[in-house]
Amino acid sequence: MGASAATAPRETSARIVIQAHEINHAYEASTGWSTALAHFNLEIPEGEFLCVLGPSGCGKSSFLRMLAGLMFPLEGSLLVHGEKIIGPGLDRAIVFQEAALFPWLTAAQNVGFGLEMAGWKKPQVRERVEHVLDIVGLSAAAGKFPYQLSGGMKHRVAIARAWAMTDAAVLLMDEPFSAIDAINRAGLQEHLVRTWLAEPRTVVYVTHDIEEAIYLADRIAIMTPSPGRVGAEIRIDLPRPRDRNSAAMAALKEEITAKMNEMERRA
Amino acid sequence: MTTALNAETLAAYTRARQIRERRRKIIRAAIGIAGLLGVWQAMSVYYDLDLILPPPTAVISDVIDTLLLRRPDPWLYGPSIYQHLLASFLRALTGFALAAALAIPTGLLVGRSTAVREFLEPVIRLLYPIPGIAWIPLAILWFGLTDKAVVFVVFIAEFFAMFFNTEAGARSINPVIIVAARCYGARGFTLVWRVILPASIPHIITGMRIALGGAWRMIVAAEMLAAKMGVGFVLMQARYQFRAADLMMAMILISVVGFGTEKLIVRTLERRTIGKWEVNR
Repeated sequence: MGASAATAPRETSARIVIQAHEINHAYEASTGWSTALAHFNLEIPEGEFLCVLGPSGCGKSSFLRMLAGLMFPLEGSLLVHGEKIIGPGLDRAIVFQEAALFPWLTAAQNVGFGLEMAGWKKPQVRERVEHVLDIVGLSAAAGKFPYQLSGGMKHRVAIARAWAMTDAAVLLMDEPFSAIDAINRAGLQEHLVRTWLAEPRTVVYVTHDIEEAIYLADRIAIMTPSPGRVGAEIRIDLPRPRDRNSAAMAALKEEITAKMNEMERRA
Repeated sequence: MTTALNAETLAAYTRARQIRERRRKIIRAAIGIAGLLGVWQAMSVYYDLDLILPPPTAVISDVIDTLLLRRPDPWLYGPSIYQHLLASFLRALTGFALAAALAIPTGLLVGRSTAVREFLEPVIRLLYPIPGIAWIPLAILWFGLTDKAVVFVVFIAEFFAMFFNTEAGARSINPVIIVAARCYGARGFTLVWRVILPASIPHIITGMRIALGGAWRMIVAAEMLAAKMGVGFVLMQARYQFRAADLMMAMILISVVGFGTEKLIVRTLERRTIGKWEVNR
């Protein structure tokens, strides 16, 4: 690729968007209480692409659902721009593991849904939707219904739907590509990086895939096995788009794998 | 650039297949109907049942004469057949529309809200086993031998088909669709109107199809007992006059109008909704 290497616009004094302080969380299952998060602390500055990496069941998805306002921590505080999250809101946009598109709306209408809910005027919605669909490379599919799109295209529409929300302080991604086959997953990751380079946003991306985290993130928050907390943080300063086969990536993968194994042992 | 199997060729294949399938369907349908008519004719002639089972030829010519308003024998049923059909049609449609207007919103609410469900479901389940015709005497008591009585019975009878289907549709919506809608700012009425309703449309259409057929069936039953006009009335009069051909003529018209109504209303709705956004429709 001929594109110039780009890194996150990082200022040491970047404003903090998300602040998780001493979150403890447990849920009541039929077998009794089960602890999901314990002493979970995390701060996310503006413009950062953060990956939350952890094994299944470590509570990383719980954290994302809390950010989305779909569930609430039992203890501790979780703030977006200093304000407590009281429910789902248009200051956060989300991409799910399934594309979760509305089957009765076209790709363009799906992407514009949130903007319409936010009270945007029709012409502005159309302009923004066109722009975002262009970024994810789906301008030609604007008028298609979800059933007419491939699995990968559906996910790109879902990403565009989140990206369209200019007023969203943070974009939340809950293992969006984990159900996609490896070849298409790599393509979607490239699309995501290109989208992020075209229009950098604060992103919280939950994944259990180490390579994916290294490929995407400015910073990786590695979670301990259940009950989850952030056990280690790793900054990835490699320029984007990254070369999956580079020695630096391999070294990072080794380092992170070692860290996760050690956490596993101690748990 | 390869030109093998270009879009035009493929479209031609599709067209050819569609024509083949349509022709096959028509031929098979014709054979089925001809079989029914053949058995009917044979029975009528063989057992000499002219009086109670007139042959299809007689009945069909009766249908044609009636529709062309040029019957050789006197017309014993007051207004023309078209006025009877129109009266029945409007009653069925009114009852159906009222039932839809109540059943669809109620179904959506009961399907999505635990509170509404817990309040309303027992009531609805208690009323459900009462057959539509059981309401006819009460309807006559309340409204007399009027249009209102007939419309009321259709309304009661067809509410349930639409309610239960709508409720099932609302309840079976993929939860992630609702979560996505909420995350992208849809709440309250907007959530119901923009997300829950369209997501339930496939089930709602099934309910409407059942209810529309039911409405037409119920209308005849109600009219036989509670009306001075309509196809049900014609049926009953034909029996009093001992005119089996007229009786069967009315039955055929009921079938034709019911079939046409279903095509017109439900298919149109289907084409304009799930026909656009669902596969294999």
